[in-house]
Amino acid sequence: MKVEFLINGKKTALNVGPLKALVDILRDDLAMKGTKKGNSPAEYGCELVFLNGELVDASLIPAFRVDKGEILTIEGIKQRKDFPDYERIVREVLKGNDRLYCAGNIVMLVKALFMEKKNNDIEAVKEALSEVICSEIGFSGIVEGVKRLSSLRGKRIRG
Amino acid sequence: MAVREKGIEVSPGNFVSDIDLKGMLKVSIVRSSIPSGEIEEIKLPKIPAGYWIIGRESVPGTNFFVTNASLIDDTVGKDGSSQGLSEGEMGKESCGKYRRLWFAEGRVNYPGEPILLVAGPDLHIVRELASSVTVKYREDGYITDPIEALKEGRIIRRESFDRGNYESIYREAYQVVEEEYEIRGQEHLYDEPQAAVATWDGKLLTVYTQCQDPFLLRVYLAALLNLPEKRIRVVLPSTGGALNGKLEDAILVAGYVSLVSFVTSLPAKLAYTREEDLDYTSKSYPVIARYRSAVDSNGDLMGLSVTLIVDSGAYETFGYDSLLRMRLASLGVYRCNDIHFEMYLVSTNKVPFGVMEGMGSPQGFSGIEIHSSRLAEIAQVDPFVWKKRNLISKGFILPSGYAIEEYETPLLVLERVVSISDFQRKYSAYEMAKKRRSNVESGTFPLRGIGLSLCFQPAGLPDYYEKKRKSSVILKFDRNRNITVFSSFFDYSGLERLIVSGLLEKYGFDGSRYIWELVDTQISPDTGPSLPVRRGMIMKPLLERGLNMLKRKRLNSIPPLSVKVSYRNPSRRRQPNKLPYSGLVWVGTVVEVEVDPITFNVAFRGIWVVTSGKGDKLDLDSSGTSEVPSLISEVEAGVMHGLGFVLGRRRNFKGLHSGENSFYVVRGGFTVREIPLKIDFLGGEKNSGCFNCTGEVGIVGVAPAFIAAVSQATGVYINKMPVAPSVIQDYIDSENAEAENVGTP
Repeated sequence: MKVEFLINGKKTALNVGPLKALVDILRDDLAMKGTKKGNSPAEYGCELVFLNGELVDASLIPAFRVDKGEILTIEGIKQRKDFPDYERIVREVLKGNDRLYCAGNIVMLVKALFMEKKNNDIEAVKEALSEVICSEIGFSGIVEGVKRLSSLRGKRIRG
Repeated sequence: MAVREKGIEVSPGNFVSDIDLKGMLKVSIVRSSIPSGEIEEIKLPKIPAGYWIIGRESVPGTNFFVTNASLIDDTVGKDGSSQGLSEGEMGKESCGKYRRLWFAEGRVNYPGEPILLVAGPDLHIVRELASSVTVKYREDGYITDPIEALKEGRIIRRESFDRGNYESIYREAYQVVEEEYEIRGQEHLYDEPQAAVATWDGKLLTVYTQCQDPFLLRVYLAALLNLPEKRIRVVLPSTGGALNGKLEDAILVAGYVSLVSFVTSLPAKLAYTREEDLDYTSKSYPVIARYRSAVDSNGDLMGLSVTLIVDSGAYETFGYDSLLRMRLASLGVYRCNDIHFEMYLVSTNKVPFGVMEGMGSPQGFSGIEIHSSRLAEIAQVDPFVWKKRNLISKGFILPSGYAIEEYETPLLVLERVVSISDFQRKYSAYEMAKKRRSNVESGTFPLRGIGLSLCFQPAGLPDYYEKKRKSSVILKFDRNRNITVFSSFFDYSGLERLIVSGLLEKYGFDGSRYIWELVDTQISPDTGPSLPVRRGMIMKPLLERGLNMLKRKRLNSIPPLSVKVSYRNPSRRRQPNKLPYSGLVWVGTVVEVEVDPITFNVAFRGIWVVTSGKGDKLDLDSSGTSEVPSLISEVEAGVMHGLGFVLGRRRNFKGLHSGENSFYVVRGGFTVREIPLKIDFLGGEKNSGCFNCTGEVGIVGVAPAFIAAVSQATGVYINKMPVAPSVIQDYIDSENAEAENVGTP
């Protein structure tokens, strides 16, 4: 089927099978390798993208669902000038190391977390980040980073 | 540092599984579907044009793969034979019989053993073709139980020694305590599954791999393809986590793509799916540890007998150093002159097991430390008092037969961790609570427990291996005042972030102006395998010496300057029974838990870790704060060693076993929350070695302390690791059943 969508602000049209997973479309058809594929579908939430402003697992989204949709991937987040937080997330949460396999995933999760208008509860932060497996930084390291980031942005995390 | 060559961007953040080349063939493996049997017939489907079937017949070199000996014996692989071991290590039983092959020859010995490769441009068609290959087998009996394998004589290696008069000590003993511990294998669960890409242009084979030892990979590829090593180039783009799981399996994957590329002259890629990775790559060695201790009337140790039965899976693998560490660790750090030790590496019909984080020390220490907590309970003293009373002291050697230099350090580490965790008070209180309730359900108090362990982690690989390997590093200082590091040691986040920037400042260079050059065997010198245990004792001194030389050169010469430094055996006092490693880092761990009486979920009330490191700036992260990110993540890994179950996924081989008879567990982060963790360093000039530099010390002591804590909290004696809620439930059920049977005629 023919699908049209906006990806990182760019209009794109493709002919793909209706059930082809979004992560395969990104990696195989659009050569956007920032969204990693490696874990079992949706198991650890490692293939995260924003679809119509909502954080979704790209391995669970079939092609027909992205038709007429708006997708934001890690490549888009890196490029966006109105989103200077990328550097900050990398510095505070990833300790400057955006070379990790899980880096893109963590950035997406943290961005989604901060898109919430209300102040976050520390337990909610932990819940959101509990699916991140990072042997380099560790779970506690990531939570600490989010707390630091939160204090820089003037948002307070309760807990 | 991004390198763009022939359309491939090889840069950090770009992983092997991200590489796509024009005309690239995708590879899939046809694997055996049975655990053991002869291959009678292979029926191939119709192969479309542009698709290939590649097997044993296409191998230009040797079909033999690796053995333990290959780590220290560089003749292996070239003629397919391994020539003995150095300096009194584990004796060979029937090593040749259990040598791994690239392709099965006539028979298969584990489910998933590679038989053929299918390659072609479309991955879906390739996988379909691979699943259409029909292999007819004549099945024979298989063994999955290592004890049965031992009885059947399927011994790959065996080691045993006696010291003192251990037989008669049991006759004199006040009490003899016998226990068996089961430590299951665990999955690495690195972020990026195994993958490799290869290109062959008729002259040079270029392999993009995740392998932690690119120069060793080159040796094996040369043997497989019958090519001189200089015609093989190994490049390491970023690796999505390794956790010591990207040695042997990474060589296997790289070998297959290299062969496909060599045969077809087209670029080839093999990337495992997560399922494939879980099912067919090595896990940590599962161990059955049998302890038999003789104790006197005070409960102190008189004699110790240890039998380790290590499951190697179908073939012998890369775990040589792990086995050595396991031997050192399993005998513990307690004063004992009468020792009996036996260790068997046995072959079963499972996917070969291998190394993991901690390199065998977690398995070794788990047995002895759980056992020592049990001995303390029998002696009716708290574990700290028992450990202190029995701890190795001056004039004694380690039960493993080696002498150590720092006799004060273990005691200081133990005292510090007990003091900061308030261990003794809590232990007494929880012990009292345990005695007041008759079973788990009847108590009105929360089910709490606290456990203590004292362990060490040897630094580097064994001295004779390091001497043989002669690791080198090249440092260049250019006109723009940048330092460029050339090394095959791949550890961007570890060394580069934690050591290099700190070291540069120490020697008067700008800490931010350095480049860690991409690992490429054409330009990088051989620095040996990239293992965190080699950071401190091998890599750090090499970098320090190099920077020191550059600093002196800089005074007299104008850039560009270049130095090459090679490994030097550390000059230490000659002593008998010298430990085969450059040094030890000690770690004391206390874990406090609370167990939910209904769900048996375990919550951590606190973890305290004290290491013998100095705790100086080079131990810490580059910001110089008191945060130790690697240690935190290692302790988390240790927690997962103890818990293991957290994903709730116990893997088993399809059609072979199910449920409780699983062979390994997948650890993960689902239930890992922020752990109340307190880290302390012993500090002081005497205490050499730093934590981060040594690597993988945090993981060693957590699991045994955790199991001791859960045992105290629940009142049931646990001897299996990891401990899932279902395991606690099983223990309690069996205790209740036993209690009900008491008095029944």
